[in-house]
Amino acid sequence: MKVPVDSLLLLAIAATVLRFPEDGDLARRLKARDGDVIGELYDRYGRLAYTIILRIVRDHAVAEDLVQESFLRVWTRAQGFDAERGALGPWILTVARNQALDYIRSVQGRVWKGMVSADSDHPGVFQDWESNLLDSVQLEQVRTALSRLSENQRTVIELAYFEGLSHSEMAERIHQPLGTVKTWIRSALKTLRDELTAKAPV
Amino acid sequence: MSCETNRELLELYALGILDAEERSEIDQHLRDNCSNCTAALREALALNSGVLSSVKLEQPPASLRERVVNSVRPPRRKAPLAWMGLAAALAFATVWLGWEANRRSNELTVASGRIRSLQVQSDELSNKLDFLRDPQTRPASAAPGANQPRGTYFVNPRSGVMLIASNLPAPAAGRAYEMWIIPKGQAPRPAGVFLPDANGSAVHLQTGPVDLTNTAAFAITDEPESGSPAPTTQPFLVTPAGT
Repeated sequence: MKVPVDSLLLLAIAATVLRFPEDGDLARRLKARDGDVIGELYDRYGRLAYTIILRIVRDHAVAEDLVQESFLRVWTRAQGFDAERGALGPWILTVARNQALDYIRSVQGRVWKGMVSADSDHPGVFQDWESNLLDSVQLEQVRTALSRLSENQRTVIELAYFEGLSHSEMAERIHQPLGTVKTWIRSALKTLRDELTAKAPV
Repeated sequence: MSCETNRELLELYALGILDAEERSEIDQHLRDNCSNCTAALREALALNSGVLSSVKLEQPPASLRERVVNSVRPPRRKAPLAWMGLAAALAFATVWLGWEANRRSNELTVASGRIRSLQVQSDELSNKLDFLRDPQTRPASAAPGANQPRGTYFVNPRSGVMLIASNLPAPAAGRAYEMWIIPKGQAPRPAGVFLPDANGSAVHLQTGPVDLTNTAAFAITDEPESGSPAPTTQPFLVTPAGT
């Protein structure tokens, strides 16, 4: 595989983003079934998890239930998490998004098999990360990158991230040909990636 | 599938929005432990958490933290609370019934008797649950046999011994079962008298510290219902303490 330069740069971003040095300690205590650790994880990631879930389900009471379920899921699956190398933040956010998408899918009578079947919210995937969540400078870069998207690109990104729609579902939703939708998504993701890597403080 | 084309697919995969066919191809490829693709998947997930993190923050209600914390650490008194709820419902029903029946005080008496009995049961149940919840409690099983009495002892050096038994024959009138803690090289010590229910099942908890290192076994015998200071019949459900 030709390793794209921007992928190396993205890793560099990952390496320079803000780390919570105590995350390893939190992960160790999570695995040791230390009941106090959930409160600390909530203090660190609860508001963001709630925000993402609320954005997806658009119902405060449901969002609260799903935040609770997300942290419970993190608690019950923590055994698979490598305390030394794990990145708790991205894992928790992925779990939260999955819970919310599962919920709206079940309400709509559809099954969202996305990452749950792929098991990519399994803690193992989040091991060997040097990174945690982005810091404020990089978040600003993400926001700038999002603002550079065309309206069509923003629409499909919104549908992908916050509704979990597949290409064919998006095509149906916005009444566009499948090929067009694929192009929009591909170019939008590339814009985000490029914008982030171009400004990566290496 | 070539790794060349995977990068873009992996971003979609990480978002969980691939159609089933493409997804299973990626699943398969990742199962083959392709290290390039595993790294690319991490990058894709990093991009995802970046985009997800960029949303304008909402403020959850302050009570949510406690809910989250309590969901992994259930309040200790949960079971007794359920009983108290039942007792409260009964009390309410009692008051209502008494009023409906023009203060038929005998009903009130009966019902409050039931409440008292429920409260006793609730306390007993709560003690038993607390004992089982204690992480130091571990099982020690008697050998099972078809239709034979069988039982499992749960021992906790700090708080006692619990026997959960079934297939116990109903004792004769005026008789009951007595549990014994048998120290190494000494006479058995009485550990409480109990009666099985109509199905021959029993849960008996003897509270108090147990010196496990000097305990050889646990057993039960058939004794007068007032209990005996030493076994007077053949012990059964004899189970080594196993230390």
